[in-house]
Amino acid sequence: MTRDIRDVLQEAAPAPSGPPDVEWIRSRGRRLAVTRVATLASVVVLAIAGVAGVVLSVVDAVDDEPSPMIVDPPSPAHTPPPSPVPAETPDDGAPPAASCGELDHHPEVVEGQQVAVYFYCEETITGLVGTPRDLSPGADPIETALEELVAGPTPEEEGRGFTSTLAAMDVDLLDAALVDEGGTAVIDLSGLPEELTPQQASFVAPGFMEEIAWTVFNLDDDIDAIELRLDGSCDAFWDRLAGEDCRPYTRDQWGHVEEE
Amino acid sequence: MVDDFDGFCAREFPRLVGALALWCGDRDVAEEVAQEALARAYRDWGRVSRYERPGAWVKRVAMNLARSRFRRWQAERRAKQRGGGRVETTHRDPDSADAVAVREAVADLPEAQREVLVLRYFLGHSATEAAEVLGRSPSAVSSLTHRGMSTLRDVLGEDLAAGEVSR
Repeated sequence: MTRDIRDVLQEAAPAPSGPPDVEWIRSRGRRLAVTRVATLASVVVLAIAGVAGVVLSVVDAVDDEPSPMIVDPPSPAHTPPPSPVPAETPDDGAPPAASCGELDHHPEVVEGQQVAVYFYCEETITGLVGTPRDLSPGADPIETALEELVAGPTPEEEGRGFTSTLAAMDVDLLDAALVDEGGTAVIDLSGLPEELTPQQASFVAPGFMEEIAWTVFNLDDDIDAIELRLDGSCDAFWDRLAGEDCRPYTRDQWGHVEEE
Repeated sequence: MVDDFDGFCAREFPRLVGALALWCGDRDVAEEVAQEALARAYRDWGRVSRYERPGAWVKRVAMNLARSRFRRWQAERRAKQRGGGRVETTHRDPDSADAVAVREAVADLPEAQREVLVLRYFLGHSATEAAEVLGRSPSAVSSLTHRGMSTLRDVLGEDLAAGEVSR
């Protein structure tokens, strides 16, 4: 007597707690449509201003919709990032949380208890904005920061405009650690697409490199370089990304200068 | 076609929730993601409703949304573990011990294997369709299916069989 996996899964899958809230779905859908129009308008304006590369990298990376497949017609539209905060947020009297564009680039963090991770912000788009994450006692700061970076913004942060290129990629963190007496951060990733499209190679990859660089270099002033690996191999990462040999990504290459 | 949206939601919602709950191990998250995916469908309903299989489209959207949400859930789970907190892996509904055991076994699979098994054996996709959804080769999907089934048999019993998917 055998059990078919399909029957087993059907029996194990939980049923919804109730019917879908179609009114909320319609309301949310309308709000998404408005957001899309606003995002596309921003892209046009910023593209004219000469920063189209950065914009395209972000917009493309947060596209949650399916690319064309055999069974369906294409759905080429770029979408804004997921924003699961309901349109009708209850008014509980508390002041609304600040949108990412209203925040300083660098958040206040409690030393030894928090780390900052940096995501793109829909409103500022050209500059990354940091947001704090709690650091468990004894946890490695760089490992925690990178885990949080790969995990992406929280739903609440997404509602405030944070968006992540790295989290939108199908990438997992295998390891992150400091070597060379703290001078180099080695970050081992997995799951980078086997073949990057030209657009991914040109725009998306630099986008997630920026998120890593902002997070790592702002974490510790003594970190001078980042070595990125794919499944344990630095050569594999750079070959996949740019058809190049292993090379460090240095603080000088990052070249971020603090605004006065 | 636009008038069919309510019916579309009623048809797709249970399947979406079931698939997403198996995948992420949390029915509340599954319901949230399923409704978000349906909102995307509503936003583009004029286009989506003309597709041959709008249900396939919304499932792909849901899986993409769930991927990012699942990473957040994993990060929170790891943070709780580091802090010594208790980690809940399944939803809280009272259910049969068998169902709970199956959900836990599926939840313990590596993400790629779990994704493939849910697509193929819960949603009924062929290996080729699953490969298209996941952006992997059909041979990679077959390999992940084999490894996932092997692990499930170790946990749930050798009598677990994977019949051929006809499509």
